[in-house]
Amino acid sequence: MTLHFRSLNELAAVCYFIISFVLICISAQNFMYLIPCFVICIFYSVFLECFKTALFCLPTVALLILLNPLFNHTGSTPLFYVNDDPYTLEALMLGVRSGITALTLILWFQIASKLLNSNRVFHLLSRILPTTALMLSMIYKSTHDLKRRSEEVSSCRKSFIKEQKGVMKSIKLLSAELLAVSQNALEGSVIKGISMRGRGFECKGKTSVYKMKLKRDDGIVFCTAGAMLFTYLLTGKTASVISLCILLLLPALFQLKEELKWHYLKSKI
Amino acid sequence: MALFKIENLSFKYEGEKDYALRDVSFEINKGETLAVIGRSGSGKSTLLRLLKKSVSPKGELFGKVLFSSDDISKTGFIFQNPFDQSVCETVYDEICFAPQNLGMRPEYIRRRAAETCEFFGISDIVTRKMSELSGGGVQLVNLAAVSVLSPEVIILDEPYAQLDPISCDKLTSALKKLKDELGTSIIISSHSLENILPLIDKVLVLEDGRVSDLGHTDEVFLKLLKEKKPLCLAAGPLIPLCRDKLIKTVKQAREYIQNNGVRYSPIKPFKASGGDTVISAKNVYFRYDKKADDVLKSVSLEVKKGRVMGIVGANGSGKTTLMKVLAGLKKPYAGKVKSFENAVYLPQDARLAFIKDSVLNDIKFMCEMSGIDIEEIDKTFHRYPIFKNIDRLFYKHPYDLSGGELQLAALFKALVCGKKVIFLDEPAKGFDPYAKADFINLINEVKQSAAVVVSSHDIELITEICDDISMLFCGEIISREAACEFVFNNRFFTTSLARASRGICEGLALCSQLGGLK
Repeated sequence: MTLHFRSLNELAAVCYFIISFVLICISAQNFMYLIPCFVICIFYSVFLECFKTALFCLPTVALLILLNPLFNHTGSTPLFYVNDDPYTLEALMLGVRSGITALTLILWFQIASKLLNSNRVFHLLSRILPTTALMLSMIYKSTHDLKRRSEEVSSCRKSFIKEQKGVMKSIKLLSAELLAVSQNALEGSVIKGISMRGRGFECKGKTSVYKMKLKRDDGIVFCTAGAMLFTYLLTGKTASVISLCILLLLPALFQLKEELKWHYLKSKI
Repeated sequence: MALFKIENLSFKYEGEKDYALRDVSFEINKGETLAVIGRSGSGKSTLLRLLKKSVSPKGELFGKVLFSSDDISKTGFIFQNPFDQSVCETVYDEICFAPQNLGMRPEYIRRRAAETCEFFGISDIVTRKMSELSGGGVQLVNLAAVSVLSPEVIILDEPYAQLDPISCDKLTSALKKLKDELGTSIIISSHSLENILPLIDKVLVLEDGRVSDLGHTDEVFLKLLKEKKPLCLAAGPLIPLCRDKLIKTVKQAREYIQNNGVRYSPIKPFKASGGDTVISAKNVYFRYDKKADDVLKSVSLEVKKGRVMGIVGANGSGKTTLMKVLAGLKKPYAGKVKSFENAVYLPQDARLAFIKDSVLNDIKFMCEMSGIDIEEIDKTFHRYPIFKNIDRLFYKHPYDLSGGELQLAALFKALVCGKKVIFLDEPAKGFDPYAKADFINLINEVKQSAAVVVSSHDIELITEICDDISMLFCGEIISREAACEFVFNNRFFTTSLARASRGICEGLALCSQLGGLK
């Protein structure tokens, strides 16, 4: 399925995610704001099939919720006592709030990674800091390379040397393996460096093939996000919650608009 | 007019005593193709890199490199390993990388990039990530990425070494288009010029950094053939057919055989008496992911002691996976793999078999970790005559070894740790003709005490070393027969000589049968 939000200008998309991230952080103070954020995030993660990562985080979040009252004893409603220290309802609720906030943020980052094209973020940066952007993009690319190389080194090593039982032996083996992977990667990077020099990387006056073109849709996202931010900050509780929901649902609304538009256009074919 | 002129070029690497190149002189005209051949370590890569200033190695240079234009965009350079030289994440970014660096206008870059993509037929992959492409795909993009600047000359250092035959064909077609349609000069170094031979105008032979021969393609190769130098096999396995005329294509070979006949020795017969089974696989099914397709389907086979088994098949047919499953590195989800002996798997890049900074340190480390007596190194050294010179590699870094030396060291390591089944994945990629001959001897000796399984695209080599060959197609073994039967029963998956002699003379498939080089 085509995710239409990915087609937006990178500047508009990055601004949107920064604004929404800031608002989620502010919303963590109150359940009334936090719960809608959490529900919307779950809706997105199911829709974008990135819920599995959140499931892996659940045990940590649960631990955070249960452990918080053991260290934080503030509150006036003790549920029971552990070593004469009260395990209070308020502290438990604080733990729940922190847990949900953490989970919401993790999910929101997952959603951002699905809806933002990493390449286009680098393009945005390349207009301001071309060398830094290229370096970041190369680091990003090299993580995949490293994974592939380490898998190959590891499977080859297993052919010759089986897994070791003692801790010291395991550490020795692992460090040798890590060294081999980095050695292999460095060897490749020398060629990469020469190849870059050969293609004029050291020349001055670089240009960028990507143009900053803002379209109408980018303007709509910009304006809506800005309007929702002001409504959230300047109005009462109910209006703030509604504006927060609209802001977070913006990618879904945009998707819906594009789908409807496509259905209409398709009917003309 | 000469595009490149090299006069008395000598070069010495920084900190080295010996010269890598001595008194090299040649020139190349516009639109010409020059092939540089020679043994591994003869100075081919050094010479090629000295032709482009921005990729030149550091060291002392004497003599002159004259180029009609000093502009960085006028010479393109392509390295051996396709993945190491790509910089950007997507194909489009990779193509736009050089023009952006040179400060060209965005509109101009977009037009040139679009034109280049269409010219090389890569428009459909332009938005894809470089990491998703095969080695051949990446090498084609690398060629497009240097061609986007409209260079007058493209220098390619062993561009075919890491590619499968289909990717080799694609790269050759692209080079042919560049030469024929744009008049681009090409300077190429390769151990196997079979694909590109019709495009080559001149050949330069390097021997220990000196020019031993330079001239027209036909003259140089026929001279090498007359001198019985294995280096002539760089022109392909058809060359020993005729001593007076260079045979470049299967069609020419067929015509020659038809008109003149050919004398050859019979192919080695198949030895039916096999040894004990060391690995057996029954109805094996394998896939990398639950949602993915099966890579291996109902595979059943036996690996026998004292025999060399070959596995052939197209790219993606499951050769590497099958070897990993048989070696016990991957577990099938259905079927059984029974192993009666210890197995070792050596990947395509044999450097990965070494995790220490020298060959000896690595073998000692393996002995220490696996509880093997260190004296086993000495015993193995004396047990196999083929390893008589391996001690000169002991103190070298594995990354400094040539392809042939690496295979030798890796096989030595496997035999030290007492492995009785050795899996070799594409071992001969990038071998020069000398290394190939040594490798055949090496396998013949190793098979006396171990079972060997080899996967390769090089049918000539695999027929030479294997007793029987299995062919994989879409994850299934569709045929398994003796090597001599395999080459004659197949129409496409066979050697160039077998294709040329089909229907004219029976039983000719291998270059070694012609005996011209012995």
